[in-house]
Amino acid sequence: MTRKKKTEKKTIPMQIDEVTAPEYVIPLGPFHPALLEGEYFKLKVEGEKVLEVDLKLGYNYRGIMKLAESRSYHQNMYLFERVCGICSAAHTTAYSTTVEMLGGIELPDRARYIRTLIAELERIHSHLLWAGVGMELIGFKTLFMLIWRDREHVLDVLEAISGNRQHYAMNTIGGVRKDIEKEAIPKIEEKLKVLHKATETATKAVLEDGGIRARTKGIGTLDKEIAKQISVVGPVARAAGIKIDVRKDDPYAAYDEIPFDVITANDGDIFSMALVRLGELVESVKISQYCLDKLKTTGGPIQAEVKEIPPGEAVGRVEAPRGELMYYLVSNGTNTPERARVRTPSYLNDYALLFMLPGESLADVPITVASIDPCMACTDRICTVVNQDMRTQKTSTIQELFKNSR
Amino acid sequence: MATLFDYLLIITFYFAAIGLAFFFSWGAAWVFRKLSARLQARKGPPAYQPIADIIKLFGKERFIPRLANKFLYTLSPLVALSAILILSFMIPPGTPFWPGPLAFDLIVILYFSVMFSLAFVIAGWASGSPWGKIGASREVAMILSVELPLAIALLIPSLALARVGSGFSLSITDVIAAQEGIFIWFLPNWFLFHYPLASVALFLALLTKSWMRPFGDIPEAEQEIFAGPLTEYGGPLLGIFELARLFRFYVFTALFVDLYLGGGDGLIFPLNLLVFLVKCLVIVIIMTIIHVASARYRISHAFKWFLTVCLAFAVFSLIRVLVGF
Repeated sequence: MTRKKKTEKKTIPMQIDEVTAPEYVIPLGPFHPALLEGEYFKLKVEGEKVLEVDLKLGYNYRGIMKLAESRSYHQNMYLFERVCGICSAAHTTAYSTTVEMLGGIELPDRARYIRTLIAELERIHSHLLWAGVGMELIGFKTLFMLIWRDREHVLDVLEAISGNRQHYAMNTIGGVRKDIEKEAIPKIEEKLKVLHKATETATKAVLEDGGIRARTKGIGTLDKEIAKQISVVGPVARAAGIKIDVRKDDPYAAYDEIPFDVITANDGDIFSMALVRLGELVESVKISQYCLDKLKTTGGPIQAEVKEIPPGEAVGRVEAPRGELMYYLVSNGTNTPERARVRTPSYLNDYALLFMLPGESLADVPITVASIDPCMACTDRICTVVNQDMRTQKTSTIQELFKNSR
Repeated sequence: MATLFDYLLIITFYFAAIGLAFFFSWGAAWVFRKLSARLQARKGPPAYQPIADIIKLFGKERFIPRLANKFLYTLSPLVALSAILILSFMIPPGTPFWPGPLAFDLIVILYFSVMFSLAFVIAGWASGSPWGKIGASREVAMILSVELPLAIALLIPSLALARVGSGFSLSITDVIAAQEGIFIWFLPNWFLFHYPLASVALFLALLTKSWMRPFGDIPEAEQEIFAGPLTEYGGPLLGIFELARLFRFYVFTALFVDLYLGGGDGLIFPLNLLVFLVKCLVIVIIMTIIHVASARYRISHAFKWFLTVCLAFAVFSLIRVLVGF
């Protein structure tokens, strides 16, 4: 066997420093079995205990907000659908809500219910996905497989309604693109019953299984005061005892008339986050059922007439599966937005990890990272290229990125 | 006076034992993978998959990481394989008439089982990767927690020989021979029924030593530390490790069956082997079901569990053996 001759010694990133042993730095990421997307945690550990954490994002930057400024309002719908694969309906709902606020467009009733239904089905699929991944990360592969098998039901429903398992492309400015036929509703209701049962099974497993309890109770605790200071959103905030939910606080679509509970917990640990998400699954099934009941009786159009968008600015908020998703749009009277700004929930929640990880054991790092349900696709903002020797770094401008991508 | 014929006989037995261990492990590994797949609503691999994985590894490039200690990095898979091969020869397949064991083979079995685990510690430390080092430190913690209950539970049958009738002996063949006959009513004279708590302790220890959840896969937890000690391994060296790990399905189950489940129950030749293998397979299936139905605990949980509950079970049985009640 031929082997290359030893070249001069290169600096290897994260080499173990003999001087500071037993403290050493563990690179968790950018590619790691526990992480579904590229992110980088620099963990300083002593044995198994995590002492310090540093977080680095930006492995998946795509410059979508800049792209949005060169496309028309209707074209942007397709662009924002692709910000995130898991919460595509949340992004289009937020975007179309914001444009409707700009243009003063009233949604027809039927469109409101369909939009709510899709949003809730997406929440079910996202939370089940999270529960499965979480189970896998604490080594409970069986429950992961079974939860993901049940998740197929909600994907079937979404496929039956929209034609796609992901990227449903249902929302449009002033309504929805496809109607739900009366004949399809009983089948969807059947699937919702299956989902309700699956949710109950998962909740029972989380509540009763000693292994899950031992791995999640009291781990990755986020204090309520810290949670308020770093302004976390969504299930992470609700698990810490902060009762915020855009669906209740600032209703959009049909949420103002639908009765549902905002699930909260008090401890702020992973166990509470799991309970909050599982509780929300039950609520989502209820909301979906309510929308289906209303769809049986409500008639009318599914799209409102869209006129020119006058100059102005608007902020739209929706409750994505991961928390508050905010869109800010500035219109200058033309058919393209002057400025688009997306603030995603993971952007806020990621920094909670810097407070949750120190003091935990290395074995709990993957489930703690996953507990906030991080979504990198929508979060990455800056683009800094760090060279391999970890010494020099280079920040790219948007023109350079455009040049590189063409 | 040992003649040439005796040596030839021992060599024949040696290869027969290795072959038996290999083919049983192959089958048991397939049962393990297929059964866990079916329980997880998956399809599962075909029967040749466990061995195809290993053959594939032998066809890959051989490499040694630059930061690794070359000597120990190459040596540790060989240590693991030789330890497990010696174990699979020393543990008789259910029969008291077996040329392998020495007069004090339970102690030797204990030492080789520790050596098997230590090979992974050496591998982790020699590979020069932080993940390997964390895996190795976890493996050390597992050895420290598991071996004490394991050693006590392993020696209880031999201490109990004096109470059953035959004299005290550290030979595994004497333990098998002492378990023939009937205990009470229809229950066979197995040490499982004499010392149930010790058998539970040994079962949990062997479950953990065979990398089964809830505790066994902590040192190589994929989602936390990649493959633990084996993170930097690849190619034929990993193949040797995987081959050594395949034998765990035979060695650790056979040890439990011989010590606590009566081996082959003193039947004539083909029958005792068959009874023995069926018992081993039942143990593998029970282990698989426990593996599938549990989450992975932390290393601190494992440490606490083995040095409190398991050790208490073992020590209680030890007191029973020594005091006699």
